[in-house]
Amino acid sequence: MEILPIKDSDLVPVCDFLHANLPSQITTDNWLAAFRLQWSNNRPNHGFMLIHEDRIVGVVGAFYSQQLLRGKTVDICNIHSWTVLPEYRSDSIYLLIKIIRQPGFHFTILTPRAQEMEIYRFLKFRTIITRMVITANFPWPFARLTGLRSVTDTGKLQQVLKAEDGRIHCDHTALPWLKHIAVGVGDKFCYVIYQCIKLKNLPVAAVLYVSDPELFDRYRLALGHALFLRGLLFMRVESRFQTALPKLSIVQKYPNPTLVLSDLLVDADVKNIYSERTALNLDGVVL
Amino acid sequence: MTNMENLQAIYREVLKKPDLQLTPELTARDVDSWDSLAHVQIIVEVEKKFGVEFDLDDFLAIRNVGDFFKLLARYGVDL
Repeated sequence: MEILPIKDSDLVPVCDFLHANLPSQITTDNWLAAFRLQWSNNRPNHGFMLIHEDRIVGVVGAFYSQQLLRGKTVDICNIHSWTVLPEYRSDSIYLLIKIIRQPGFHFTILTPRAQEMEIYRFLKFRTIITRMVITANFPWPFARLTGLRSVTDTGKLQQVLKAEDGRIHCDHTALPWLKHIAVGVGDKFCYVIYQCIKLKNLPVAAVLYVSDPELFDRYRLALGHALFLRGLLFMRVESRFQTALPKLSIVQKYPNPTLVLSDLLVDADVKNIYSERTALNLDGVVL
Repeated sequence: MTNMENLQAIYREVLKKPDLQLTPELTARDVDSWDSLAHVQIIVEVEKKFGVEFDLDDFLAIRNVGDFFKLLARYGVDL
């Protein structure tokens, strides 16, 4: 049994393995496209794989990104798709240990499974508890009166976004399932990345990124109006992306834990971007 | 209960094997319910029971029960 880094040349068998052994039904080609996204100049591997007799028996994936946080570039490794065949699960933790022992990175896990939480706690991951909040979008006729603009055009977005968000937009603009909108006025725009999904057959904007929770709350009605005009009747946003829960919202009963292993990242630094949540089209997918 | 009996009780409880006999050669591969989660649970229970705290290097050094015996001895737990 050995643990090896996943190199470019390993991606096809690794993605075949994930397709065959995860319940998500994500195709090998979709996995390949996700792994090949280049979000960092400091990408040592695509994760690690557990090998037994020349066969892949376990995988832990990694999306590396360099993110600007408070003016400083930070190397983040988002860990995903930790999957080991049942008969080799006594060794599965060594995959995780291998990945978190890489120096210079800060680690996040955005889609942990409940049964794995004890292992993550043992490895000193910190848990951020967040819940999904669903609100209805309504037409809001005062959007024009307040001078608020909603911007979706790629070129215009680059004009209104701050440098950090402009880079996030560039890094995610090629992913067709992601939608980008900025709402605001003057130099105060809130940038939102969302995906159109169906929940109980209703069209929902599943928000993945909010640049500024305070502005998000302030512009919520204008954003809801813009989304409503795009046929999205509801908006689903994590509670941690909002400073207060809006009236008439539905809060998901079960929390969505997010994990972080870092002495630098505060809760607000942990985002869903540069991850499997954005690299893959997750509408209807269970990770 | 002696320390060895306590240790054996932890393994039996976590692995759900009431008749399990600890031997130095025993490894995770010998017990079907001994996966990584069980491994972590054993470590955490041992830390609680014996008042010790292992680090990740300690964890990585444990490849069989005999290694764990040695590790516990280093932390002053006589078996």
